Amino acid sequence: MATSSLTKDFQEEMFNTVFHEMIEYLQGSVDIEEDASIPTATLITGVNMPDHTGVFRSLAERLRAQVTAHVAVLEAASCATVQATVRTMVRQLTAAGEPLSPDVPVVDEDEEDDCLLDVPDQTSRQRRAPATMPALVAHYEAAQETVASPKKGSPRKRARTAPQRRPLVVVWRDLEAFQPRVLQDLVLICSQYRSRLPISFVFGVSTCASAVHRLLPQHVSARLSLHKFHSQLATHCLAEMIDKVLLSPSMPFRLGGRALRLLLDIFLYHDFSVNNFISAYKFCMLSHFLWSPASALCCEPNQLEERVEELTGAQVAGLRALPSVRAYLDDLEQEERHTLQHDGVFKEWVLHMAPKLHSKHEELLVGLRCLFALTKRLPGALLGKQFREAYNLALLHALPERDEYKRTFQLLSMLSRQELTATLEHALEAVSGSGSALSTVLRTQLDRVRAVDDRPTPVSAEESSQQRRLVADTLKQATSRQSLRESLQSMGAARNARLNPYETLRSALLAELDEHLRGLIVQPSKWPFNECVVFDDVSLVRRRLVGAPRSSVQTALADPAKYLQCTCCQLGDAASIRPTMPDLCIVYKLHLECGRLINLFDWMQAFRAVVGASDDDQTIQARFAHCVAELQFLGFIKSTQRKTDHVARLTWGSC
Amino acid sequence: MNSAGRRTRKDSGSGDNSSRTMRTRQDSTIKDINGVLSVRFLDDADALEKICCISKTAPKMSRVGELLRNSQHLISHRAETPMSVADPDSESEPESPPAQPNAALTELNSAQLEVEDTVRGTAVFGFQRCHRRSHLRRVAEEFAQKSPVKTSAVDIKLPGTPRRGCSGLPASIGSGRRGGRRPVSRTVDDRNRSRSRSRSPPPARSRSRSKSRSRSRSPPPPQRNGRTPSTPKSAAGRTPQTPRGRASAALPTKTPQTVRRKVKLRLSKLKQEDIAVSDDDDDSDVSPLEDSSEDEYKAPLEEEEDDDEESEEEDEEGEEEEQTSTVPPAAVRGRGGAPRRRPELEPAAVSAEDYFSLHSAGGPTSNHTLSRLSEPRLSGAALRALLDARPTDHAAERAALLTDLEIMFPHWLAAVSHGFNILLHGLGSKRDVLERLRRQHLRERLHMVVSGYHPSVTPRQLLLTLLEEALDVPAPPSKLEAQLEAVERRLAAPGAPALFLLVHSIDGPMMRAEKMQYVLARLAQLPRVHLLASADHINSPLVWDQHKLAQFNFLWFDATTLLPYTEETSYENSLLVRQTADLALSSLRHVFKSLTPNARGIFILLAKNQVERASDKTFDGMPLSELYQRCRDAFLVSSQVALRAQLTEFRDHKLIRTRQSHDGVEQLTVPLEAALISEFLASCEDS
Repeated sequence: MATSSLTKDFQEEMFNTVFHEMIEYLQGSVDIEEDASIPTATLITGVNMPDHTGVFRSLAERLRAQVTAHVAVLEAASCATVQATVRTMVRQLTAAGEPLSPDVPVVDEDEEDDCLLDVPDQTSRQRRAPATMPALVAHYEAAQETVASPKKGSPRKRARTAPQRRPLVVVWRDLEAFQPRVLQDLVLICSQYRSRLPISFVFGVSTCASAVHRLLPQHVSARLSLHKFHSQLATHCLAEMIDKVLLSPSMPFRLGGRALRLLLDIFLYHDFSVNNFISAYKFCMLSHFLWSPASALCCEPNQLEERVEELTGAQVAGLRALPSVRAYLDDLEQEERHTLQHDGVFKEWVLHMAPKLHSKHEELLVGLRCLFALTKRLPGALLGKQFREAYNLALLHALPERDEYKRTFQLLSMLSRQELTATLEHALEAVSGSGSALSTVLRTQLDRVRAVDDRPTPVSAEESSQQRRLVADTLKQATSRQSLRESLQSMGAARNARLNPYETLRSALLAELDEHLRGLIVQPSKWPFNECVVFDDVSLVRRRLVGAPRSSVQTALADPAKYLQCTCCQLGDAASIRPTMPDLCIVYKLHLECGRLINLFDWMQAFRAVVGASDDDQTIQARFAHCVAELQFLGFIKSTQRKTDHVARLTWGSC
Repeated sequence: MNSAGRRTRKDSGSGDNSSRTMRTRQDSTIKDINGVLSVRFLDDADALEKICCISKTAPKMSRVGELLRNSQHLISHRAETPMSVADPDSESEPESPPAQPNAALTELNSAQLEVEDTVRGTAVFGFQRCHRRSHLRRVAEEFAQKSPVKTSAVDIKLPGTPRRGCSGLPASIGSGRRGGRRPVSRTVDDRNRSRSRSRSPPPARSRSRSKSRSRSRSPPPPQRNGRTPSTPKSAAGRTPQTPRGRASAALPTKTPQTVRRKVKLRLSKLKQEDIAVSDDDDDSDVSPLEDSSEDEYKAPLEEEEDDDEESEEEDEEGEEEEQTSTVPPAAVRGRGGAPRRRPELEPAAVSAEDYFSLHSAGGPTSNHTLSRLSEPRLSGAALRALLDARPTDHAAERAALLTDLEIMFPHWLAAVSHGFNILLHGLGSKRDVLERLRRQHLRERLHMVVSGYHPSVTPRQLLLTLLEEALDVPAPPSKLEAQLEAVERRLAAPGAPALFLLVHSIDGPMMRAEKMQYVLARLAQLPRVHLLASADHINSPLVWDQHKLAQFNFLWFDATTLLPYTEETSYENSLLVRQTADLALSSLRHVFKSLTPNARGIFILLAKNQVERASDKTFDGMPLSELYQRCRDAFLVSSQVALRAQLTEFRDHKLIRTRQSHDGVEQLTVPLEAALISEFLASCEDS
């Protein structure tokens, strides 16, 4: 998929630092003298479980490449008992040296018998030593010898290479999921072998570091020397991901505001999983290309020409009917609109307009980054703490008309020179890479701010003496404290009204900046042809990604006409029952009127009363019995022993 | 990349190989999107052929989009709208705004009001009650006549019966109508409030209330109506009807009854002059005091005004029919103080209060049992025969629902080929949907169907079948983990086919096990495994945790078919279906055949003993010592150890059941009915 290679790279990068530290630690662990405790790296991964698969996979890959070939990744699901755990661990640790072709199945010693029976050529199968700790020791020593043997140097040299023994790393994924008993036993076993095997552990902990101590009693955790590593926060990963993938200029596809908000909400309030976010993004992309006819123009600018050439008449008509295009055309003059009715002219116009979509998005980004940098140091986080929030806001609303925007400029107009300089520097930094006109504007502004003299204008001697006199007068005149205060306030206001050069410059600069930003920050839904690149069908995404199975079942039961589209079952009132409704719906509605226990016989009589006497008793009984079985299957009722011929209701209220 | 795109475009011009073109075309699109990518947008190209099938002539992907969209549009009315409405905050979709429950209720009732002005006096609902009551009585009488078992009218609990406590469901209908008879305007909450208030007093009081209720049922004397002075005209049919017992309890004791009556009369006269309201209002048995506490009915009053406006708009045609066929809602059943119904069922909207009110009191249900019926439990075969003989309702509509889903098939396959898995939810058996998908699109592909509703499906069996039948692995390992690895290895091999896994009821009784879901999640994660599953149980999402959901990577589709769950429920121990022992008997025969002669002898001895003592109520098994003694006498075993070995084998095959009696003696029984055992013994003697 489009994003996968990008996202993979970036995920590796995200974990680069923490992996690097861990690897250094593990490499160093071999040197620790014998009989010491087992070096253990506790990797705190966070609660975003779905992402962990990727994290641990790349960790294992990296360990294999950089530290040792002996790496075992243990998962709780396959480690129910100590025996199984030891077997899995030893299998993985010993498998390292041998190149194993994927097609050749591995034979477990427990399974030999049944395998031998039906496999004609046993040579293709590999025989293994039993997977126990002594076997592991033997295997490891043999492996060390083969490594050491080519260097048949002097004993001294061998002694020097001896510390270069490769450690055995056991990675425990999701430590909390393991049975504490198994974990404790295995730690004790491994610490027994520590003198012969340089075993070290990596604990993947998803909650907090104290989980290790909760799982292991003191006498066990004393055998470990724990070292804590923090992995990257999921929100950081997401921010990176959005910056590198969603906003990248090489990506012609864009998410609309509402869709992006839904995806962010799922991330923040549901699972914190970057992988799920990527998957949802993939789905949005897929739906865009599959369902939106306008997506034909969603391509790189250099291919646009050919695409436009190939547009069929129907497609052109479809493009013309896009809401954004229609709105744009309505604003045009009559004759201009008329000429655009011609397909050839329209195509040319499309060629003219469509590339602007990408440049407009770039402009929006530049403007937004600048604005975000400006607000970042202001109190109150007006546009949110993350750039994605500001971006989402700009997609959803016409930002320059919003209060947040106006408030930003109000606050900016109160900054001192130092603060304004720093803010502008930040903004310049944010947009410098884009090479847009805004950066030059900011640079000149910065220069002007630096150059200006922010001392108050020197007050002429006459003026000052006049002022002094005025103050003296007022002081004399003041008869009460209140009047004195009033007069002083009015004097102060009069002085404030006169701006110093810095203040005049500041207001001018901000006005200029405001004008530029207003030009840049245009809501995408205002662009003509935005439907070609922007996908914003949020209800579709919600239906597909956030399943609501229960509400669909209950809607169908309560008001089957919504699905059946029949005239006979239209309900004036949601709670009423019609005999024409499907039997299941009738039985369901009758059961809603009951308490916790339902008398089957009475229920059936009620059913009979509703459906009428069209059928004979046996048939009604059969219909009813089937419906009861269905309700039981759906989980609304269950059988109960509390009273003869009663069932228990499993739901409450009106559903 | 560019050149590739160009070439395909030429192809598309010729249009000879449209499916191929389609695919490459999409690839190129995606390559466009991302300058550097190595992964193709559509790695399972074949799956896309299916999409192309519907757009053979269309060289453009966006054409497919158009087609799909059109089809989507077609069905959007049918299938998608309810879902989107059910969405709490889906933007758009204004087409079917959820009707306000009260508005709907008032609309209905006011319509009835208009239609029935002939009987208007007894206030709207009086008529309806009579009507409904007579209908129900008719039905009940018909049933009583037909039914050979003697069921009196009282048994059937006619709605008129005032007793509430002992009533079963029909009574609940009655109470429902009582609710419906209430003033149109009272909101559900109000109703609730007053009810809960009136329920709170101790039992003695509630008894008095029920008495008063039964009294109020008799038609009130005409001079009493319209006596509520402060009630505005519109509220005539709405007069609050707090049960009388409560009202009298709250009455000041000073004013003698006669005085009050006089005052009432005068007031009512005044009122009659004022407002020309028609006579005999059923609901006017309200004391003046009640009127002073009018404020609690403020909300209804407003509703009433709305209602009047609405009733003016109401067109009268078809209302007559509606009145006869619609059973008005039972307001609140007994002490379940639940608001009856919201227009859209949103589980989130259910208040927690409902739970406690449901569980706070024991349900007063009647003591009727199914033995009143001529045949309390139908056999499975008879049930099916009866249902088959009956024409299904809404056949055309249900077929249309299925066809709508068929239109979605290419979309599902496209999504599946991009690493998503499909989960179908919604009411009705989705077996047919997946079956159609299989027949139409997956015939030629490698696929496997798992019937999750089957009670004997296990993870091991699933994987074994997968390995042996689908993937042709000659000697699959026996361990679960190893099996999984074998599947992964096999499917990771280059050139391995894509496997479509169709799972009916992924939340079936056996599928809920952790192990099963673990296996399925592992499989679903594989790039070459495409899972299409259906879920039926209302709590099915509870099966998956965060991690598994991510592994499954589901796209949810509403596949409401409203088809009967015939196949799915046939394995279930249904409450109303007689368990046939055919299965047990045949398994018994099979096991019995493989026993040694001595073991057979032991079993026959045990079985015969049980048949002989079948009529003995106190018999609950043969003591072990007695069995041993008899076996020794018959030279069947020589030691207790040998007997125990045999018994263990029986137990493993579920031929016998052991139970410890209260004095610690082991007692053995054959877990079958006596008739079956004798049948079995007879067949043994024959052979």
